[in-house]
Amino acid sequence: MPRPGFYNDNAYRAYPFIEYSGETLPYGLIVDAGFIAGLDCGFDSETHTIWIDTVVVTAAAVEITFRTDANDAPLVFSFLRAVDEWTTIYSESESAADNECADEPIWSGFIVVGEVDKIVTTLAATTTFGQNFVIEPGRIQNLAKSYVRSINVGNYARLVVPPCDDAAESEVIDLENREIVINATCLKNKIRLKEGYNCRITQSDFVSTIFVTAARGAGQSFDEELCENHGEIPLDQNESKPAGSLFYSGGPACKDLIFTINGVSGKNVNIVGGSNIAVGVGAAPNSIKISLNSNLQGGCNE
Amino acid sequence: MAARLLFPQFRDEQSDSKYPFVDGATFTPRNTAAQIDKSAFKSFIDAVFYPIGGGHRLYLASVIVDELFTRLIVVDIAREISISAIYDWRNPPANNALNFFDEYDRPAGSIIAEVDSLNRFRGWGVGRYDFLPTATEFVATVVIPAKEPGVRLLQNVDDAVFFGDIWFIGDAGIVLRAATDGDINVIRIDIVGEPLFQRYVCANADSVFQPRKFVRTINGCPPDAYGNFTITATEKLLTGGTNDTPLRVYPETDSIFIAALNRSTS
Repeated sequence: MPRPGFYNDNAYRAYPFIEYSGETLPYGLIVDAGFIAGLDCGFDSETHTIWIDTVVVTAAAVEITFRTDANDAPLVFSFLRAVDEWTTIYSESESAADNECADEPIWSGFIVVGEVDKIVTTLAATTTFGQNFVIEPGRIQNLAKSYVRSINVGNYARLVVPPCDDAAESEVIDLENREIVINATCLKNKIRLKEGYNCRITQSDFVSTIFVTAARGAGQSFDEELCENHGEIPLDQNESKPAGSLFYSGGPACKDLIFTINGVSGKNVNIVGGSNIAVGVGAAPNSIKISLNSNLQGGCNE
Repeated sequence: MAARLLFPQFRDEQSDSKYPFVDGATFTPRNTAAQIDKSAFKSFIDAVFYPIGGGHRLYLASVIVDELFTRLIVVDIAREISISAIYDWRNPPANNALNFFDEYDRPAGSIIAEVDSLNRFRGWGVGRYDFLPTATEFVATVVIPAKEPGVRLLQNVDDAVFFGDIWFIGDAGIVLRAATDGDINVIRIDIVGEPLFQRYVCANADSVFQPRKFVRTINGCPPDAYGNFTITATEKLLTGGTNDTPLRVYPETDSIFIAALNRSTS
């Protein structure tokens, strides 16, 4: 005796939904289904589900919307009422709008429909099911955490010395919340790491490991690019040097600093008032006042 | 109602069959001396496996029973893929779906089984029960080939794992730049140091960094080519200058002395 096929069976039972007792969703409208929750779906197999939300029936077409509590994006299947029995229909949701690297759907899926034109006559123009009809967990593939989609490249903004003519206090930089200077985003397909200055890259195919180390003189040999920028590399094409500085990180060059006064060096050089001279703090910021002592007219000698 | 009898619900139908195991599954543990209640497998309703890295001919390799948890380990025939699920009888899974994860905690599939069936594992007694593929192989239809091409995960030396959209960020003297070489995206790594790096490291403990300021000019005058700033008592080096001054400026070990005398230098 011939046995009914899988779709035949499902035309008379809840599958691919978990068994339900309601009569509002007629058996056989959907006889099989499968869903893929993508990287941006946020699907957690422990807590999230997928369910049929609405069925909209018009004179010529049917639109079935699925939803998940993992994401707000709906998954809509549209097809003609006159579609052949057991036709497979595919659908993809929109991509994640808040992620420029996402070019695949948030989630996607397929359904296999039964005798649509005959079955939808029992439905209203728009039927909303709430979350009563949940897809069997075995019909869901969760791609969360499953692959590396893209590589983005950037650098933490460098520490910059404030301009030297800035009379205000030095700027305090919060190291925990530095800006990231974006260099490139959403790199996909073939990606190669390249040795730059003082960089050595080795890889072990056997253990799928890449080693990146610093070694003086390794990698790219020193060239004019490094010298032109005084040992620094611009973080992007638009980076400019602070006014009055040769360096992207600002600050003076060695030749710009006062190392000695009258040949006297050291971490502290004292200016001492000798005979008839008073040395004190001036009224203006960062100023030293040197003035004649009031005893000058008293005939003091050397 | 006749239709209901002819077409039992999916879960009812499968709970009384070997599915999702192959028809020839024996459910006999590797240690044949172990006495187990094989009906624990009978209420498995459905399964879906999509382990990263693919694999084929998956089977239930081990069931590890302890007082509170039952751990199910599924591997492929080459034992290159291993995923596991933990069943806590005090907290049965929603929708009867026991979820599997790989060693990096990535979703890898589910077994749908009646809670009663899963609870029967506890009746086996505490211990580890291993199986051969002939005993517990799953049907091929429940195994979905997972996305294979490309890099699936990055892991650093601290075993932290990264997936999705990953950022490479240069810091403290390491500069990363992207370029293209034909159809290849090139990420160049330059290690050039950073002038303030050491102080950055030292300041990191305080989470803040305050750059120093250096003296570059005095009264707007810079030093000479050797970095020396000269304070003189006379103006004789200047045009129209004079030697006639009572001032004296002379250096000592770490001081500059400035004095005024009651006589001129001339």
